[in-house]
Amino acid sequence: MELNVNSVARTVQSPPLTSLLTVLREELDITSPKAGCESGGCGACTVLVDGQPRRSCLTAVCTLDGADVVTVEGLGTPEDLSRVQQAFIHHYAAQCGFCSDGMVVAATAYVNGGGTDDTDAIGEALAGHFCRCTGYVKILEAVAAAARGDECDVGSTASSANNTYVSIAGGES
Amino acid sequence: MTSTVGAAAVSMPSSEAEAVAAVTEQPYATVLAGGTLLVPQHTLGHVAVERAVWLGRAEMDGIAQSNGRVTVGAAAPLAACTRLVAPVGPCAANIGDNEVNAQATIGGNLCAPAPYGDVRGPLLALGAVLRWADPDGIHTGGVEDFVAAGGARPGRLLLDIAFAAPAAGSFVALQRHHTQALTAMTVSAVRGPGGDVAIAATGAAPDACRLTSAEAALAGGGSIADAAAAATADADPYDDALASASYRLRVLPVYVGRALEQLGG
Ligand SMILES: Cc1cc2nc3c(=O)[nH]c(=O)nc-3n(C[C@H](O)[C@H](O)[C@H](O)COP(=O)(O)OP(=O)(O)OC[C@H]3O[C@@H](n4cnc5c(N)ncnc54)[C@H](O)[C@@H]3O)c2cc1C
Ligand code: FES
Ligand code: FES
Repeated sequence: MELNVNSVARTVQSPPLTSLLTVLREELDITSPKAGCESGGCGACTVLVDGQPRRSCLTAVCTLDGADVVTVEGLGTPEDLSRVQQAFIHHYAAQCGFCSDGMVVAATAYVNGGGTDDTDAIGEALAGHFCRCTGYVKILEAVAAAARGDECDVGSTASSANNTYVSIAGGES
Repeated sequence: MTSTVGAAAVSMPSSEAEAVAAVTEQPYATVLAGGTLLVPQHTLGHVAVERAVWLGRAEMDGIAQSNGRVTVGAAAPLAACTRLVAPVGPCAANIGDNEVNAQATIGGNLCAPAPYGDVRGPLLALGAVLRWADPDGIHTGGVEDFVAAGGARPGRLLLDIAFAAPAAGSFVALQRHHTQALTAMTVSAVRGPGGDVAIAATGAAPDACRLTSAEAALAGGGSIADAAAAATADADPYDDALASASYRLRVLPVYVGRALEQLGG
């Protein structure tokens, strides 16, 4: 079967029930989607399928014949990062980075879909994404900045003046 | 079209009739709907799948309403079911985060036993009628009949779910929205066109159940508090990772009370 991965046509040989996550990482050597829980609970494997965020660990590759798949590798280049990637760097929204690929992909779908800088709305959009380093405040700030279209200098880090201590799940922490 | 690369072949029927034929022919096939449970189970080696049938092109995802009766195709995504009347709409909305909710189907949820299968509660309270196919033909029955027949298994395909639109419905869940993957308990209440109230719960017993003692207390003229207190007689509480049996027993009357308050007089 054929997949269009990061704008490159790829032929997939894995058995049809193989998860998209396994196909990306083990057959196509695209390692930004992370195998966190491999059962839908953490969000680290999230990629865009035809523009929508999808858990690659929950998706049988045979259901995607001809689909457009975008991973972090397809969002920008080191010289030309996407708006969300720039905001994550400027706002220091990654610690160990394990959740970041899924967060960036889901945030990209949120921003592309016209999402605003409203903290609750961002929390709702990223609700299925767990940051084991619990760096949620910075992540919310980065996504809000990207949603506003702030200029984000990747050579400097923003101060956290706007900290609103609201967890990504929408409650107080 | 059939994708045959590698071990398990997956067929992709383009109509309900083709799906029935593909699932029920030997060797019996496992149904693949949204895949949100089946794919990880397969990846982790918890299920062996010889042959699968994917419903994504079988046109089994329609939602129709006519003459006060709602019919929902088994492959309708939960996200599409969120616009259904209470209690089933709010229940569908409560399941998973946005990404899981968009991919998982109502039929897949109904087929998934506890701690999944939240939609069984609202559908029991609504007296929903299911249609399913297996090698013996097409069957109709309630959620309890489908479960008694063994629920989901290779060779069996749930086709659709139908119910009469209720006069009123309510739904409460023991879960902070999205903060925990699974729901420890739900209570659904439905007022039928004749004014009778049906109540069902998930998480009060190992499988979804009607709370008939609470219903009887209300029908006998009892208050909401009476019905809530009576509900514990219908429980068969159990311990699991989500909640202890004693916690379930304490919370059940509170949630029955809330569901009945929400239902209103
Ligand atoms: C992060 C996360 C959070 C979740 N939270 C909740 C929750 O709060 N409450 C809850 O109830 N569930 C929850 N779930 C489980 C979720 O509801 C199920 O994953 C989903 O509803 C299953 O639907 P599916 O279409 O993906 O089924 P699949 O994974 O495709 O199938 C599941 C099972 O049902 C069978 N099946 C599916 N459709 C049919 C059919 N039409 N006929 C016969 N057999 C069929 C399959 O063969 C398989 O055995 C959660 C899951 C995840 C990953
Ligand atoms: S690896 Fe897919 S959600 Fe955790
Ligand atoms: S940065 Fe470490 S898991 Fe989020």
